[in-house]
Amino acid sequence: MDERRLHAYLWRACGFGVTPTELGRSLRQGYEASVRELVRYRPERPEVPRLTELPPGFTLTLGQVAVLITWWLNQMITTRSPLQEKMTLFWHGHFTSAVVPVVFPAFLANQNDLLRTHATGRFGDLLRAVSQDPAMLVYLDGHVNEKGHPNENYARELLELFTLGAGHYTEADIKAAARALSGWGIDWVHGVFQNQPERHDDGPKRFLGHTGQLDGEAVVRILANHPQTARRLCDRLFRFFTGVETPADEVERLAAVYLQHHGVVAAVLEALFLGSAFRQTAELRQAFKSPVEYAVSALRVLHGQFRNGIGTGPTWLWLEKLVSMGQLPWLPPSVAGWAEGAAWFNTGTLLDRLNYAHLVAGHYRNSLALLVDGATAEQALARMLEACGLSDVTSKTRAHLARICAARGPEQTLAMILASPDFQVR
Amino acid sequence: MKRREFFQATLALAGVMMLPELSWASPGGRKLVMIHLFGGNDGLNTVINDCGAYRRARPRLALSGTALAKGLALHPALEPLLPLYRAGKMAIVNGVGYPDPDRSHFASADIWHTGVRRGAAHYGWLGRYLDRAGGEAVNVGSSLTRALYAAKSQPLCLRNPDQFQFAQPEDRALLQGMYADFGGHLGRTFERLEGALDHCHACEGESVASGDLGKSLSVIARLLPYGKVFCTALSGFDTHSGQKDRQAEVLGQLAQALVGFMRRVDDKTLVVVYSEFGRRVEENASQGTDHGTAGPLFVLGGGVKGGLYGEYPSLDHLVEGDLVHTVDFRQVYTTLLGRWLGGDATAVLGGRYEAVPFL
Repeated sequence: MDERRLHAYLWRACGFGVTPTELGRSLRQGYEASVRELVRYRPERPEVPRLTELPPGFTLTLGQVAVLITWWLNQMITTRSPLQEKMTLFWHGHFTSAVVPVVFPAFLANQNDLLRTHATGRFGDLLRAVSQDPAMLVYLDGHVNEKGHPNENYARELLELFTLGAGHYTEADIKAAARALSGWGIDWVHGVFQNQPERHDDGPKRFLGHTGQLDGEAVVRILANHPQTARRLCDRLFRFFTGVETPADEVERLAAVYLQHHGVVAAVLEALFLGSAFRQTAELRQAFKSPVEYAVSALRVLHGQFRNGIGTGPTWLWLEKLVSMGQLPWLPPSVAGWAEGAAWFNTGTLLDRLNYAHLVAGHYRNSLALLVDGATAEQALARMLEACGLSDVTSKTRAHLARICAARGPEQTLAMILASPDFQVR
Repeated sequence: MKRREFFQATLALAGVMMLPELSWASPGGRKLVMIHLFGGNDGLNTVINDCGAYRRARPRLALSGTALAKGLALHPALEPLLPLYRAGKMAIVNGVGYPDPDRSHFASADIWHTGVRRGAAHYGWLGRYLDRAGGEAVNVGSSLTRALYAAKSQPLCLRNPDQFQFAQPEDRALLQGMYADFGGHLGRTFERLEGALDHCHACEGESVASGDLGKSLSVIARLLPYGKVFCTALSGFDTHSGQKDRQAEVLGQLAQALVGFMRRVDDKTLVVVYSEFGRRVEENASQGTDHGTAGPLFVLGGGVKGGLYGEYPSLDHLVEGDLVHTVDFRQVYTTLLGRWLGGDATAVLGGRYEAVPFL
């Protein structure tokens, strides 16, 4: 196994690219030390935008959401704890909420903060926080679920999408969970969670073999401690980081770590990255970047940022690129989040990725000129590949790029590097 | 292995009998173009039943349209379609919807596109058809419609074939080399993209009309020989406020695009125009309408038996302020699958629905 490739793969999995400095340090300190550095990060708690200033020409909601999305993308670019941000993105796909029908951008901003805070902590804490989160209470109708008038929407997705997965519960379990969760509502004056005992159904229930006057806390606890939740979550994490199916024994190994560490996600991730199953996927080049990951990693290369008025158009121009590549935060195709992996690529989304590469390379001409100043064509290519974190590019790709660099100059070469299949994967 | 060979090999392995529908092409090279009016088009102001109940529910939004037949009229912005209607090349199916309607755009669109209750199927109705019958699907728009989600069929997605930034031969050759060497899913996707771009550039033609839908239908017109099923969408129908101008604008765009497109295609192309739901009977306080239920659907083409189909929903017998559908959208799908594409509608839809005789 190419050591350089393995380290770059790890850093790209845990973030949005790898700088030459990071890669050098990683190789010096060794793989295991790098896994620990990345997983045991110093948590960041950036202040989410207060969503009061709007770009001109936007309606209130759309403009606020554009501000929020831009802010988050820039946070991904500038973060010093990349895995925290990567996991925030993972949870955003897992516990999806959408602009419609949540409509209150402040709720979405607060949910983003919540996911970041709990990014690698105990899954049970995260599950409880999400179940009481106003954006989620609106998105899946939890706030209208009350004694005598149960709304099963949240309970169903809680079991099917967030924890156990289909086939591991009955319709009766969903009904019981909905009753148990009744009374978790919203204080609309302050826009925060409110426990409303008068709307709670405190009758006896039977849920996944547990009986009693179960409430929402109990349901969340039972689910978070369930071995099937451990298996399903570990399976999802492995697929998210590698792009390939999880070997059955790897699911069991990681699930055991989850249960042994009482659901602490950081422990699972450390075991995952240190495991041989993960390392063996490095050469496969199957870990397709999501559109957000792709867009962010391309901008990081030349220290760019998403800004209002940047480039040839307003913020919306950049966000529109994400829509056409297939992933705009808070605009998931369904409650199940985005279909990941190979599903990110069809002819249309690939075309839009290639065009995006061209846009980025053309937009940062000045930074590019600094990067390749005084270099021969060969040196310029090496510097650009290094800046893109692609020193480990396949020799075939390198040969193709060398030809274009000699013939067409750095800007077109950078566009090609960003458009290359190697840059579409981790 | 070519896709066609792949299907045949799969079928041979599975020991499946070659049913008549399992031919590569639809009968006689027929094409189906589905246009989704996204946002929930107000059906009551599209095909107008100008009665007392309508005027009472719509004091500010009521329109007098251009007379069709049986007391019904068409929105003035759709007037360019009248020659097609009068020539018997346009069918209007009234009251299309489904039981227990969902008023969320996404949920209702999913129901229309999967053809089953919400969450009951992952794949789309056209995707399931293509998985059985074979044939290429083309999606023109920024996102892939769920109607084309499929287990095997891989729809071609394309939005702006003329805005490819690496169109220069040497750039393309370089990308081609890199993607071919890389192989796998990315290599295959790039190869398909190239094929489609080549096809598009080989059949450049005049734009069928201006506007978003005009552009999309122009791309479809160029790709018609490439595929069998085509899907696209037009947004802007979610008229909660200021409906009069906004709906007139988008319906006007629809009419222009349809007229231009129908002029370009032959009788083997069938166009269907639908929306995920209609709108509430009573207008709201912002001169708009909120999400409702059933609405009219258009079918255009030389093969159509033109005229009016489906009973116009009663404005006196509403459920929760909404129309009750008179035709299930799966009846329309049954006609399209059985009488146009030559498919097994019952198998695709998982049930038997009475066809609407517009074909």
